[in-house]
Amino acid sequence: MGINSNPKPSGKQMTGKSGDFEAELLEQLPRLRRFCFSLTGTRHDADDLLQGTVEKLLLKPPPPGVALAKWMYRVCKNYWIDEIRARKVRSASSLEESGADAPIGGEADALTRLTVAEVNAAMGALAPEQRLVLSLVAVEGRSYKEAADILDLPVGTVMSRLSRARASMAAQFETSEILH
Amino acid sequence: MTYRDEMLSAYIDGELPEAEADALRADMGKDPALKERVDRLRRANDAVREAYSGVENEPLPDAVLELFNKAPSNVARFPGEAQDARAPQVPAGVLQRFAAMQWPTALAASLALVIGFGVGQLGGAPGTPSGAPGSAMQVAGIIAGDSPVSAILDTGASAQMHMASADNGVTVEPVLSMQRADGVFCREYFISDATSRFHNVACKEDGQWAVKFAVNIPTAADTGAGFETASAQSNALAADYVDRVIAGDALDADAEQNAINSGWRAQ
Repeated sequence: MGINSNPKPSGKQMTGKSGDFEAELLEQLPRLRRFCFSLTGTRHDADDLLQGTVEKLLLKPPPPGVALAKWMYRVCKNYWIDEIRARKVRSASSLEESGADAPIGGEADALTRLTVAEVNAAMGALAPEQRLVLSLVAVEGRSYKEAADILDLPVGTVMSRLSRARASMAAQFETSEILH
Repeated sequence: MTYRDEMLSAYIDGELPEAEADALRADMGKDPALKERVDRLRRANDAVREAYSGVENEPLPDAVLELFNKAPSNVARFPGEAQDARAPQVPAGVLQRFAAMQWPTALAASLALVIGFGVGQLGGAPGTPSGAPGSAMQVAGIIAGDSPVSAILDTGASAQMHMASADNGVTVEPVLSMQRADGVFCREYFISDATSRFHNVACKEDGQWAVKFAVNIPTAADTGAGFETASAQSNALAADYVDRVIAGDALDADAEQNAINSGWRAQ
């Protein structure tokens, strides 16, 4: 029976490379969406970014030998950088409209009382290159090596950007703590 | 020892070599200020992670999922599935050619494909040789004007099942009717017999129904997954075809009845 003997529950039955790629991409989408969310800070902008990235990915699947998990972050990053100026204007307004101020976490730790809006504000103040590294490592759980691969940077650069990003985030959180 | 932020940051990420991590842990035990530096970075890190986590467990946006239904390989994939030993009698060469094409070429070429079929009716009835003209289970080419399928397309209302041939159980289920930009009427329908099922679009050109689009739907026996899965794909393909070729909305029941009464004459 060949290909028909083992249908996937999604109904997406694969007969070739591109089919495998689509199935893999579908599996990765939730992660890619989270990455988009950590880059843009709002669900609306995240889904716009996700949609644009998926459109590009479907037109341009990873070249042979390139892992999708690396390729998709890279395509997403390039799209985000391309759009970042227009996006900045939009997210500034959509942040206020989003009402994304639900408290996060339930820990006694002071910082867990930070709201998504506060994290967004601090993330928004980072240089885009720092935000990318922090998103990949802190949110996506990529290793330094993987992040360096995705961003086409030396591991040392990943380390230093990440360190500066964290220090900057911590400083901003403390500022907002004082203000509370 | 003095630690740079980079080292503390790498420690949080588990990227510090084990020996250095051990040394740092030992120093943190002796130095509360050092421990606080690490904790401070870790809190910032955790706040970021928590702020953006959870979205991966939510349903994906429809607009993104729809991109997959329009993707070229999806189209190429579906007809390819019919290449099963038990799949019905669509000439393998045609399906392979169809499968090898990419949108939108496949659709643009579907007219040519139908011409390529010639009068290649596909026999489904026992005793009817495959491809014999006049067999009821016709899924390609010009449908003979005196065939039961032609009669059903002429007069059968949509959303009902019509028996094309009582002796071999061929049924035709018109789904909806529509009009092409050039005024020609078309109908989307399913045609099935005991062993196979197709999702077709035929248009009434020069007084005859010409099959423009045919997708074989693997039966439950073929896929083990049932019609629903397969029809979701054939629906996507048919809808895509219809969107490209058809002007405006599907006919409502009254407009369809008018078209039936007028013999589906192009307007």
